Amino acid sequence: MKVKDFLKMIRIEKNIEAYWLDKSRISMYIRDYWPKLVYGLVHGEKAPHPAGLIIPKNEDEVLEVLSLANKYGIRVRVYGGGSGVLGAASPSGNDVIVDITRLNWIRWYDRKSRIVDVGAGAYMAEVEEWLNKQGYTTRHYPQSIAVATVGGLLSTYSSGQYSTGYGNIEDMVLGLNFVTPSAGLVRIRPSPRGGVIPLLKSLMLGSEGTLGVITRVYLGVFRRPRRVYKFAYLAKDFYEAIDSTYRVIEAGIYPQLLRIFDEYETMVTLGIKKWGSGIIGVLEGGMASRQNLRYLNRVYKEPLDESYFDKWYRGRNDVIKYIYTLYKSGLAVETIELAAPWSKVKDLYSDVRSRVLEIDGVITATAHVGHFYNNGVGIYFTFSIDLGRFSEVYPVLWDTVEYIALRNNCSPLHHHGVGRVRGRYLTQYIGYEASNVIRLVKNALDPNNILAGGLSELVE
Amino acid sequence: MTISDILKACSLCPGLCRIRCPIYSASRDLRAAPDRLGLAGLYVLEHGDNDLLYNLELCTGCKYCVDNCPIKNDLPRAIFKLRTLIPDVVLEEEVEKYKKIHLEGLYLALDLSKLKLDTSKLNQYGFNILDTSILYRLVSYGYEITLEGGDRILTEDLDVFPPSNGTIELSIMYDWGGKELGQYILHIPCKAREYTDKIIERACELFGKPLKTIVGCTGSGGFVSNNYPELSIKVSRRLVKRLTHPIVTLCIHSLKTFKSLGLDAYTPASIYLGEGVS
Repeated sequence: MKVKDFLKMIRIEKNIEAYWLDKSRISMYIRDYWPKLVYGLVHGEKAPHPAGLIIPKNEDEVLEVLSLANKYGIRVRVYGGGSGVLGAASPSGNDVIVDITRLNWIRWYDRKSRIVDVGAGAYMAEVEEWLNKQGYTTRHYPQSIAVATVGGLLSTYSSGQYSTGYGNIEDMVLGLNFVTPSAGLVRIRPSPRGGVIPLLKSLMLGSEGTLGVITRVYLGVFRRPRRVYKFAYLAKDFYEAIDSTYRVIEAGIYPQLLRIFDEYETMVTLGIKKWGSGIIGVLEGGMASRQNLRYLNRVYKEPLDESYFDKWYRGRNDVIKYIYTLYKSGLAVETIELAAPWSKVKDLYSDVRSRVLEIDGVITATAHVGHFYNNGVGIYFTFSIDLGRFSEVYPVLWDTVEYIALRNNCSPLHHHGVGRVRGRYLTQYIGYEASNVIRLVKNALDPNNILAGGLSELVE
Repeated sequence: MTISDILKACSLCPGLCRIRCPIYSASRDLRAAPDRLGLAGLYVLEHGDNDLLYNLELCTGCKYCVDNCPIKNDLPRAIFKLRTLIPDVVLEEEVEKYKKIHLEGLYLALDLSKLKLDTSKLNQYGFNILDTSILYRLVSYGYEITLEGGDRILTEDLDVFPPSNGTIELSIMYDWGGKELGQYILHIPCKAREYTDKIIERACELFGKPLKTIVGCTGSGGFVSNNYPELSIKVSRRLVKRLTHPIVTLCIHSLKTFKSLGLDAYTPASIYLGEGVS
């Protein structure tokens, strides 16, 4: 069946909102937030338009759309907020976009147990505001909170600024519903823990729309903490900041939010004029004790005014300020996040910085660490690139950084997902057998390969 | 910033203000998302892509996006400028006639196509009526209006006469004489939000204390209420939620939308000059 006929059937026979000729609507889905497309489109470059658009308004409509797409072999790509930075939601050629943002309910599932029932298309900022008004919080604050949907955050395996204390998205998801072409609508009711449930949940976590479409999420949330201690310190350099933080984590102190910046980001992001590595964070609730604060003072040595924390906090998501300023100076921005065990993080940082700065066209390379675990960290690199040479530098930059990560036995990703960029690096990292497991799962859940998404390169 | 700079800045942004846009937030129509309006505008301006020209009709000019933008990028200004490219034959004939308006005396500016007036009461209040129905179309199409003469204008059409202009006052500021309304909801429109405290104070003096005050865009400005009435209704429904009490609004365009929701709705002028309060 032709895509046009399929969309006509969806609209006329099934009465589900669908478009195939309306360019004013369809072309709005031309990109997610993949820098390669964002900068290209601003400069008038062409990008593939999707072949059509479907906007289901409930789970039954998603099921109907996927069943028919499976029957007629129509390739669909799920689209949430479009904030992904690796192109998983950017269309290619004949895809039909399925926009899930109308699945946007937010309600209590069990208030006593602090479980909310959220449509996959609700923006995380909407969920957070709804909870805040009632004295609760998700404490899942990715930089993209204003523009990322809950379903999108699950499917890219998201992490937030409070991850060190509250965990990542996988720690919050107590249950979910999803639709797969072969299994239909799968309902996993929320539960604090239990047997096979994590296995089912993990099928969708990080699957980037390739294995199924998430429609409903049950999130475990928190009471907003009453006691909050903010802190800011300055270490001699980034390496000392990493070593000190290792001691803090080893001592079992997990500040809910903790960030250490290299010397360059310390100057730019925190506005500290003195050379050194900035450390900021908060201790909340039970972790906010005088004893823990004393320990931090002992380990980090040079305390700074907590206003440095406030300054960062206020502007922490204002990404466009930075991007636009650099754009006006002829620079593009790209970010790459990696996960490293404690034993490798310093080598990884120095290798990436020194090698990347050798690439002609890369102007700056900076980093911060914002996710701390008992066994390692998530490290986030930011690069500025000569805008005129962006498309030529982009693949070289990615190859360089990802192969350094692989050589250092570090994970080539932390929380941005795989998308159109990382498939081959990830295949090398997990190996043939593990990639094959993903392929087998894909074949079982989506035998006709109708779901286009971020893992496509990995499974095809 | 030039129009092109404004549009580029929005096109480079993931859409940080998106959920603050009343139209996008209520409709989930990606055409209305400010970041995509920026992209559409850029394609219209720099590549002559007229397929996207009509997307620009989906902005009411409420400027919540500007309030929530880290770089305070004035996207509505760029969108309204570009709307002059939307073809309208009838309008082109009107442009010259209405571009400059000469005023003498005190005026009440409101859209007569949206309100029936009892003109016999006009003399009692001592002002002239300035019908904004055509001016509203002009402004929606991106044309700027110049006023001549320094006289006062009381307005209920905040799209045409934004109250930030020194000679323009909201109609509620006029000494109408007072009328006790009982339980009513006060709606302060998006374009008057910076005067919230002042408006509440005046509403208390004129009509008694409102049961509740709601501040926000009803999605009725610009082209939206005329060309996409279903969107205005969605936006307004989100704003009023389950309220069923009579509403006093300061926006003549919201009046029509509230009425189409089945609510009793009034502006100060309609209370004193119109069909009155039921």
